[in-house]
Amino acid sequence: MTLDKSIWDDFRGKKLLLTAMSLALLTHGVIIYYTLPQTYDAFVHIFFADHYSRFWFEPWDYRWYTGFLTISYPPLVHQLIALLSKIFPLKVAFCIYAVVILEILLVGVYRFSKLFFDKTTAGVAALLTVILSSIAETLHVFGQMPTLTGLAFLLNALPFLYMYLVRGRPIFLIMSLCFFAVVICSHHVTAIFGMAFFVAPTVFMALTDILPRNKSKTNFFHFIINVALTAFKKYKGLIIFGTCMIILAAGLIFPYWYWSKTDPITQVSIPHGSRDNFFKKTSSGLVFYIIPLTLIFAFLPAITHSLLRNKRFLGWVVSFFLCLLLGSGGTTPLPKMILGKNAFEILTLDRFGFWASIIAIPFMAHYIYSFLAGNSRIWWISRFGSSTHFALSAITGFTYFLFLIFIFHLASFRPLQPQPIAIDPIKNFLNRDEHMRWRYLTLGFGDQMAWLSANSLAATVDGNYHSARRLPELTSRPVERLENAKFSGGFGIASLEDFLTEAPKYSLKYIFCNDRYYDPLLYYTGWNRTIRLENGIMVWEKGNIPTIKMTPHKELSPKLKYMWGIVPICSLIITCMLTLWYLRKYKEADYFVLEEKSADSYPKPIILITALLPLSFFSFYMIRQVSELLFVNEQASPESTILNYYNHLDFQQFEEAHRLFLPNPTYSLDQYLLEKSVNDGGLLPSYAKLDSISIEKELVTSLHGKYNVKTRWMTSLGYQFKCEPLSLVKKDQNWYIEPSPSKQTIPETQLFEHNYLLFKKAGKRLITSFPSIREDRMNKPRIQVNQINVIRSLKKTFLTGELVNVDDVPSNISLKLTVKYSSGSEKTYFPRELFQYNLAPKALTSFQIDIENNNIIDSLKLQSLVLNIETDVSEKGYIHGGELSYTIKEVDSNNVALQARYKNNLTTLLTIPGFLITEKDKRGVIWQTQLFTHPTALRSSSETSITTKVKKLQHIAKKIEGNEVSIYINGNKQINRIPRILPDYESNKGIQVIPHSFIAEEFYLQ
Amino acid sequence: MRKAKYYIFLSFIFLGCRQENEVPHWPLSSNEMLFPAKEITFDWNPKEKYRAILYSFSQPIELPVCIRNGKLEIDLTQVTGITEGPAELLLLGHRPYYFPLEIKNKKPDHFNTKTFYSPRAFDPDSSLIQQRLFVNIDPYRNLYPFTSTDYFKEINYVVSSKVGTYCPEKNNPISCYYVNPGTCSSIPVKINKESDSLLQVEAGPLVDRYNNLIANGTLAQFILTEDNYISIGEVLVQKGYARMRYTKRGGSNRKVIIKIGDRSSKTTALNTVL
Repeated sequence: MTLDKSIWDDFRGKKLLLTAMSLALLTHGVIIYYTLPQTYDAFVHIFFADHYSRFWFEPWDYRWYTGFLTISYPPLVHQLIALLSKIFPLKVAFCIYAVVILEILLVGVYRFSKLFFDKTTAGVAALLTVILSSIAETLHVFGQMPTLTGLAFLLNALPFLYMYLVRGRPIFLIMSLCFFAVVICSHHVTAIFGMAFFVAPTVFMALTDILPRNKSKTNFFHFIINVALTAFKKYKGLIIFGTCMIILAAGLIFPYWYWSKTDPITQVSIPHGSRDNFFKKTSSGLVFYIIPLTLIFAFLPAITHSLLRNKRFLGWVVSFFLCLLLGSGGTTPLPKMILGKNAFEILTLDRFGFWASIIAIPFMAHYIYSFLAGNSRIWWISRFGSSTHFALSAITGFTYFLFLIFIFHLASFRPLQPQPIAIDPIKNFLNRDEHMRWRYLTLGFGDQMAWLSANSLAATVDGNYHSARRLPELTSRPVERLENAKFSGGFGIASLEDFLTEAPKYSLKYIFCNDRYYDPLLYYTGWNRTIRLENGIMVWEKGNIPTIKMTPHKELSPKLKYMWGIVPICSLIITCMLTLWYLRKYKEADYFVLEEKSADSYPKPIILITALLPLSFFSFYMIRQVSELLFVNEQASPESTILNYYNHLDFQQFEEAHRLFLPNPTYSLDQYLLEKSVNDGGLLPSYAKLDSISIEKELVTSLHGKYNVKTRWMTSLGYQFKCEPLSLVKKDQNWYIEPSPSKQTIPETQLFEHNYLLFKKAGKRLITSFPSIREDRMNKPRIQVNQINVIRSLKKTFLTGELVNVDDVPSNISLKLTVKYSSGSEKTYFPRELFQYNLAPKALTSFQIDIENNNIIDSLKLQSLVLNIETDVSEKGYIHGGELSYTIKEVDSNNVALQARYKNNLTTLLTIPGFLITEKDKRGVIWQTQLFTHPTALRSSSETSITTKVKKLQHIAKKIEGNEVSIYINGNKQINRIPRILPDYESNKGIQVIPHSFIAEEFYLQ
Repeated sequence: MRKAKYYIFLSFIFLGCRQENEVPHWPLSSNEMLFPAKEITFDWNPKEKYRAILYSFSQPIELPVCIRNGKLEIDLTQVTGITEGPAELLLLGHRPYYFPLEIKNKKPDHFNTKTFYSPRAFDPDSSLIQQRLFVNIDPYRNLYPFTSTDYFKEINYVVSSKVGTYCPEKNNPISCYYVNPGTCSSIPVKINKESDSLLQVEAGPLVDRYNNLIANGTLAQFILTEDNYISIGEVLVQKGYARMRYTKRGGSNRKVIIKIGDRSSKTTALNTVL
């Protein structure tokens, strides 16, 4: 048959295919532009596309992670989007590309389905693909274009492979290899695992179809032997195909394999929801199993029946159920056993569930067609009547439609990303005043950080492609990105803290913060607020950061670079040209001639169950979602009341939280919010995330209950614990919290004033983009170091000291300790929160820089220590808090109790009242420095009592002599150091306390 | 025949020795060129188009070229002045010809005297001597000597000990230098009764040894001790004063000491003031 024959001879199948393609264009083509910003991966691929758009033949991109090689990901998808972006904006180019790939995928599904059933069923399969939940999720929630591209071309390759094995004609081999080549250049994982889950069953099916009829209808054992014998007979074809595939896989993306071999991944496993136990973490189960596979499970009886009915599908049986099993993640131990620990912890397992849904498409389509227009329909109508058949079909379709709507709006119910951020103000900030000479970091941007990177040439230490990163602070911890560090728990905050304190090491100078959760950590690690941009993003800045230095990177051979830029695109061009040539010269209309038309009859129980299951599943799911929204009683029990109360507090839903209090005219919402604003605030709960909660019963009756609620809150400064007694009463079948009387101290004055002294640096006065001339530069402030000590405690060794700002200007100070070990290695250390980074004129501060654990010190041996201090005039951060009174009581020789009263004499809230505690001995030598923070804010003119214990080190630690510490201040060596002896040692027991509070109000920015 | 051979031999030598004018030679006696100049002429006719480019220390300058009277003439009139130093004249055509030179300007009509001031911020606790370095720079950014050997002049200038901003060059704010306040020489303490219940402890006037008020923003710590209780209040000095309020409490043994950097005031008892 040639193309002269009208396509309408295959009218039904192709009509359905064309209908599916049109429907996809009208639905997905329109929606994709609006769902794209909410997806997980779309912006990452857009970033890669932007890279190729700017630097087609240069694989080194300096913009993420101090630089990484883009040969760490097969390039074809990104290169195609890059080419489209030469005509259209990047987002539009991505959307156009996504729609085109979806159309190719539909054609692929159609052709793939024809391997199993007739053309009409294949057309139904194409229609089903348009509305399949797994496709919708992959496209509109995950944004995984390479996965879809790989799959689209893989499904188009399989029929050619089948025909090659059955007919033996070289043209089919060439066509299949061309399509496989595009798969390899698009997505390596699809290429690797596609061999096992798609190619192997196709080969098996082809070998089965080659068998004579009598040999295929034997028992199972003989059948397998016959297939094996057929494989031996076809060994030449199989070897040719296998060899060509290996050559293509190795050759087309050879730089990728070269990179994997020479720079292997050293990343600690990063947790991913697809590896969770879906019974324990139902949210992961929803996203990675229920949404993509509910329809598959609903049709599972029919799918299983079809698969097991015909021996030619045996390979697909194994493939399908194995994918289903692997897609279940950590719900059972089997996936880990099958894949191995390493592969299990590297791979994201949702792809297996996705592939299972693709394999199931022809079988679902077969049943649907049978139920709507085939034998199953005839049986149902004869049994139950046509009206029930119509009603069942309509309601099932409607509930599935609602389910699809739910998927599209998943982000509304469960926010996956922060609100969209306008990036132009950030771009303008980076473009001016040479800000690009330093690196930046975003916090709370979600995946939009990749969108910002794609639109700027500035560099960030963060990134969104974890396989390519090599920074030890990131690879040694199971964290995704720095910008969402709080969602990675303690590890995430620890990684972020490393970068914030080691900022000079990475030339990290600017932080764009969209989440005030991180504000306390930023402040205490020496960052200052600089400017709030027009889009509401706060810019934090750190002083004394050197500019970016060129990072030496492995230079690739120019041949590999050109290969990377030319070969993948050529593979697609060749595939397209060959496809056109094939369609013109070789296409046969009915080249898939099934030996027998597959029967569409199902056993009656299968018809019944499979007809009812989808309705049950989707109806149940939608009813459950609606009931959770509307009918769930949050106050059914005291425990549920308490849990929901804290849940509302965690999400700052104060109106909902107030509804859980006993209705009382004296305790209105207004009163509640007022008391909250007065009593709450501070580290808890304004900058905290609820981590865990436990409820202890104290006294419970049928109408009253007293509970102790112990909560653990995750803050950027570490975990905070709180124990709160709550009293509940039951009224009208609901439990309510009894409001406790608000304790507050009322200030004596009604109006208070405070003089703030603010400084403003003129900065560069000459309006020129050239570097500042000598005369326009301010002198660096003078600092004096009073003492430096190397202290070895029971567990670790650290450096303590004291320095004073002897200049008349406020100073920002950075400390960097370089330790050289006897082994020849050198390492740098920085103070973390144990230091005041900004000092007013004549102010002093103590500091502590942790070096290493004693085990490491003993093995490496300290040789020399050099402390480099850089100063700069600071116009922010030098006001540290109010009036601090304290008394020290000795508990025993090693412990003292610090009882403090902290009064806020400023006109603004002390958001996190805190102080630095320094322990000195009688000679004035500093043994340690600690930071203490109070969890609740302090209002103006109010006071609070704080008690804490301090464990003294001077009797249990040792001061290491012999290792002279060299001190360089702004490049000049300081020699004389005299410790300040603390007067009244007997009264204060050597404990010195200075205020060190975080003030959220941006009065420095006025 | 012998004579003919002799003449033939001489004519060969004559032909061989006759200089063919195929390469240009530097026409001046030295390789120093003074600007401005009119032109430079090479006794050479290249028979094809040639370009002339002067590669100075700071920039290349393409010069107009013409052939006049069978000689290559390069017009230098557009170069009125140049950054002095080593340079190269390139004649670019079928073959390139390089001529290294030293280019100099003739005496300029005028030049600017630039002054460098160091330091630009003074702390009266230490030296008040400023070094001023003078240089003459011609319009083409060359240093012009004061004498035949001296390119720089230097003086040591004693600045005023009074705090302020001083601008030695009018209309040039970049030239300003600053005398900042020094460290306070002493911390006088005064206790004022503000009301029946409030006392104000005032430190000031805080001046350095030249009677300048100390810098605004200097941190003053008010350390109040009462039995074993220590209270620290931090105040930023403004206009030479730092103030702190305390509530009156009769019968208590309260003392206050004020610290600014390394300096401390005398310990003052609060309960003496009622």
